[in-house]
Amino acid sequence: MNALAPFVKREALDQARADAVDAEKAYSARMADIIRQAPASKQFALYLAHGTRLTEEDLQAVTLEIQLKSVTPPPLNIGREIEPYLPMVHVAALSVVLGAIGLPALWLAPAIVWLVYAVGFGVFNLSVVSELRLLFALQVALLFQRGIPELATGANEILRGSVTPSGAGLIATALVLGLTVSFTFGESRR
Amino acid sequence: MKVCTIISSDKGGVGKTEIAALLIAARDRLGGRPAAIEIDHQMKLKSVLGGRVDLSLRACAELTKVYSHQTSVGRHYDPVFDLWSSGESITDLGANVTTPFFEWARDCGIASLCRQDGIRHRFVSVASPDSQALRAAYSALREASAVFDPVELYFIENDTVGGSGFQPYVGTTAYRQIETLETSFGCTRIRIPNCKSKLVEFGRARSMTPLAVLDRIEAVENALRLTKVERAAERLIFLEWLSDVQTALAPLMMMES
Repeated sequence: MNALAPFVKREALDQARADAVDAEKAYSARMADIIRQAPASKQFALYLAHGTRLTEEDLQAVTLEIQLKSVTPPPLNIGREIEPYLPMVHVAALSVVLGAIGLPALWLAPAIVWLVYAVGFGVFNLSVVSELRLLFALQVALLFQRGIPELATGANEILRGSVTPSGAGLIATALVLGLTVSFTFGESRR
Repeated sequence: MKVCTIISSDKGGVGKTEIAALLIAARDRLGGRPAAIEIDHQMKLKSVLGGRVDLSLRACAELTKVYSHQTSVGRHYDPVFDLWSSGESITDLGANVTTPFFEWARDCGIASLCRQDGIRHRFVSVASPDSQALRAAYSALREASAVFDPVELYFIENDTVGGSGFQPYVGTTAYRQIETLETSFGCTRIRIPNCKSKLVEFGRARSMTPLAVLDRIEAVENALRLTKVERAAERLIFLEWLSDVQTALAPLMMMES
């Protein structure tokens, strides 16, 4: 055998093969760890870039983990779920209280809520309440105050061709409310 | 035993010098120490093996003199014949040297002198995947079979390009002609696979033979700044290729037929 192997002995070749397998396994395990620990947004890109270098075992484990993450919904966060509606709730509740004690709830309640949120956002760095959500809250409060019958009156005035300022205001309010709702929900979904 | 191995191709860049250097190193490691001779105006073997080359002739510089007078021809190549006669030898012919070499052998009656001295020739023609190289290899092998007797013929398919290698050339006229030599003259075909090792590429860029790379493998790996996993992978590619080469060249490493 040696007579035909002046350059590379079989043992050296076997050792090189074993070393290459060990190095590849170590690399695979390290890459699998990196993929597992990466943020979910980067995980798939890493998986695509390095997946082919993973051993069968590591590849299966990482694939399974990514698949599980993609099908498992995030845990329910009640605070985050109701956050978009908090200004509306606050304005509505304050309107009721102010109305009950005879104060001009229509304008005062949104103003107070706006002020409290602005101070809270500025001073205490509370979670961001977008202006769209405040507007939404304001319009809901308007509806609460004036009621559906008055909205119907405004619509009736338009149909009769004699629009009073209050009727036009109500229709404009309803339009703004519709737009606000669609924007607000669109915002919260993103 | 006076075995004279001649490695030739009129086409440059087919890997003659690397094969010659590998054979010389192989015989050295096996305890043979053949005389290392080159006839090449580029003196590539000397640039690779340095002082290990026993005789380095600049063929092209002497061609005018060689053709002008037969005595000059003989004087010019006398040292070559002396080394052939001294025992085992490996001769690397540079590109465009094969034709004047055969003229010298024929015109000076070298073949009969070799027979008298008991020199046995092994003529090795090297080709890369290239039509011109294949045609040159065929002509050289035919010429060698006509000039030297006895002679063993070897054709080395040296895949220097990778990819499909010689596959596209199978069935072409030049390839078929070489195949006829296998049946009619007992020409032995040797296939050297393409080398994908970065270590060998690094060595070639610095006139290092693959064995010089093997001897300084860690320094080469460090110079290439390989990571741990690349290091293991490249070393394996290199050693597997070297192992394939030593298996392929085994018929030329043995001095007994």
